[in-house]
Amino acid sequence: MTTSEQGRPILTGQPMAEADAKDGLFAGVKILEFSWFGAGPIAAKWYADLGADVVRVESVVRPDALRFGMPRPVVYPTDPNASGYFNNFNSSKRSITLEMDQPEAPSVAKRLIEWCDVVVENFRPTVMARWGLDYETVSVEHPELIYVSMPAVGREGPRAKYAGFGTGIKMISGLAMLSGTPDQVPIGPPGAFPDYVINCGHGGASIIAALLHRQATGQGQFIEVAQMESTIAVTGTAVLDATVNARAAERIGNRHPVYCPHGVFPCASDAAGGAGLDDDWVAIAVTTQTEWETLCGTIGSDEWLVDPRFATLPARRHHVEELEKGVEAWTRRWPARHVEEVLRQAGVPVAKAQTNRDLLQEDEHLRQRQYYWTLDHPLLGPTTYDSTPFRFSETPGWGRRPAPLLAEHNVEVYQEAGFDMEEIADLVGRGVISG
Amino acid sequence: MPSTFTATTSNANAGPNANAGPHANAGVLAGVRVVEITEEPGQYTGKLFADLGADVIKIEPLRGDSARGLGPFAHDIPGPNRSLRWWQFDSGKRSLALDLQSVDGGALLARLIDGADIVLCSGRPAQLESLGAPWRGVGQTGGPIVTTITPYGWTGPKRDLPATDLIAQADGGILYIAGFPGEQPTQVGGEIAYTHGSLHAAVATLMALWGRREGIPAQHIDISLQESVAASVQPDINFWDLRGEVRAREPVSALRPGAGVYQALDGWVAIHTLPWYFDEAIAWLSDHGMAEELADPAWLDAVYRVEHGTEVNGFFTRLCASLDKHTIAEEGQAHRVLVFPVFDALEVVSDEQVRSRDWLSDVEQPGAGETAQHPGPPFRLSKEPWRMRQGSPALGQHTTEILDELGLSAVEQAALAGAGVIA
Repeated sequence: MTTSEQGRPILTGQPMAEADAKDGLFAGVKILEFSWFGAGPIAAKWYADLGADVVRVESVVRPDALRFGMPRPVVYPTDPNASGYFNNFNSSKRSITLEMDQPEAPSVAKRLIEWCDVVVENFRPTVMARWGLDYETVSVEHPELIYVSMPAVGREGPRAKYAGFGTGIKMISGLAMLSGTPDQVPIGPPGAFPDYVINCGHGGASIIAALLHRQATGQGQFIEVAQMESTIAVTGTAVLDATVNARAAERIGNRHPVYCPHGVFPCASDAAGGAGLDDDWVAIAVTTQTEWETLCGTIGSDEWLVDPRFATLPARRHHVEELEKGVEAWTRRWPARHVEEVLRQAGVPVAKAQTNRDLLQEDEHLRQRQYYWTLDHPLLGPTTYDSTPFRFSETPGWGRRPAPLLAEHNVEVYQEAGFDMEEIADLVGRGVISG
Repeated sequence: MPSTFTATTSNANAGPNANAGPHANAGVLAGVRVVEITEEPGQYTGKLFADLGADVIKIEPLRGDSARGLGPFAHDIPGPNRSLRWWQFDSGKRSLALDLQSVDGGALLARLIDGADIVLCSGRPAQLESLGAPWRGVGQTGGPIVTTITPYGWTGPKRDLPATDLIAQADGGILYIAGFPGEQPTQVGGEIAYTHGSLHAAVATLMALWGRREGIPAQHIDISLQESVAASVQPDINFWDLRGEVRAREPVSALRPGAGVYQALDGWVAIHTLPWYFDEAIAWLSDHGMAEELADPAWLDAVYRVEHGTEVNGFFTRLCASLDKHTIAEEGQAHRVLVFPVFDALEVVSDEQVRSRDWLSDVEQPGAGETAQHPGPPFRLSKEPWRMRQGSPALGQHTTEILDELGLSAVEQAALAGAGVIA
């Protein structure tokens, strides 16, 4: 293992030479991304890490706002190539630019679309049509094309014009109202949560479903992933509870409808292994009577086994607040890693609430599984990327290259798509693409 | 009734309809046979496959799948066919009640798997390894793809540890950043670790199916719930990587001034102003009596707004306090401010956007003798679309049918039932 200049271990993914040598599951599949922000790019990233040729169509005038987002190194406050937020979602891809407000741009885009297999876009519903790049138009000459639109709430309907990210989708889909307690402001899960797995997940699933259909029939198709619908679909039993029982499920914080105790408990401050913020927590989930008995024995509370308040699951649920105070009295005495180790040894489901630092530096399991890849970025050097969150035994994914610099691959991609150098120079001269 | 499973193995590279059996459905996965041996994680994977037309055989223990016992129940009346969890995640599947611990049960599983395209398993690795049969075809051309959804994945030092949804949320890093600063971290509701693992499993399994038809040997797909959660903390990873910052729980308004959850007359709204359209937000606020306060051009400066974040949020608080959330969302969106009403599930299912797109899907749940409105398509394929085909099966409802297809005689089946192997 190597270490960075800061002494931080570099979690090397696959050596680039070896990665290049593998064709990958989707070698030969070309995906053109008119999408930006999170949901579309993450879905396409999976295909890129598995060998597809994924090309981001960007703009120098209006780049993906994530290119200017946080986090970025302090020394690069505004560089469009220095955003970790953008870079993480775009490993293994190439970047070209096309200024869509230029009159020649739509016809250039059309040629690019004819060259590719899959288009992903997540603009507002009217944008692609305005450029004459909607599915109905471009599929006439390219019936094998798979075209994925990912609008916020749908292409039609009274709210069709709504624009938004995961930050809003988690609110309108009912997801936010499943977290926290009734007295809390319903902020829901952190940030743009549905972008990172749910909406890119359904988007990614729809692409492979369409590839399967094309494999069998030779036909492409149009796909709509309305992010609102995609997110409502995975709100557990909330929809059925509403339609069948006319009820909005109660928000239950960290408790569980059945298991008890089931919660998140504060631990002693741990300067060495903790966040250093006096903010260390463990989650404990007791799912069986055996685990309950083990917990009592491990934390020295055997008397609870015969205490009528706690002896049975129904009793524990009835006295849950006293029980949680009792567990907390024990966890507060120890650092989170100690609590975790002791209960793991005993067989009680437990984990420290890991921080971003823990995930990257402390978690030996993730390190051994190489969940994070380190890719050598031309501006930022060796930096961290999430890997594909699934492992294939025969066709593993690799970070083939770091996220592309803005416009990095203009010449090579336009050439591969059939533009000759003269045309490219002309387009550069007219400001349609950057030189 | 013809046996379908031998045809499936020999035609692994043929088109999806090449081995259409008696239960072939329309759909992109028509003719694909899935054997599902899952606990809660992975149930959504199998449901998604069923809704795309696959024949999903759910193997249940003789006492029934644990989901049948979990509430909420239809009309709050418990019963093995009344769990809404069972309805939600197991509709469209066929139920085979089979004792996998018995020798004969193991042999039957092996026969089923020989005819399957996909084996979907969740649980802990040791438990799944002991099933044996699923792994026989991995690495072989035409063998079944095996997808395992386990707490920590198939390798690594934590592989044998137990984890529930909450534990995976803690170890995957989402728990620590969810909730309010100064209070305990709050799990993300909706058993999101299970959902994430199920979705990653669905994508990867279909990718492997595509590869299998291109001649790639059958794959083992390894899904770790911890990693499926870690995938949802992406930008935070880079905060440590690029800046050495530990990310903690953020106050609601920390994202930027004019972004947060605000109280409306009838509930809550989420507002997210875009810095480059803040002039439009000012126009909106000005329509509501704040023109004078916002006349200073300094408000157009993003840095100034950050320095005066409390005042900016005060404007939005005042705006929202006098309006209902629908009006706030409509007006805000018209001003290029990303505004969404905060809905609970009752509001979701009655929302005009959901209704007008005819999204909810009616399915008869025979176990309860009623038709229920389920969540509709998570994505809309224009060819061979997602469609719920039938409700959730009763325990062992399809045992005879499936064993008939496997070619077991009535006498053999009676013997197995007598020995307590099937039900």
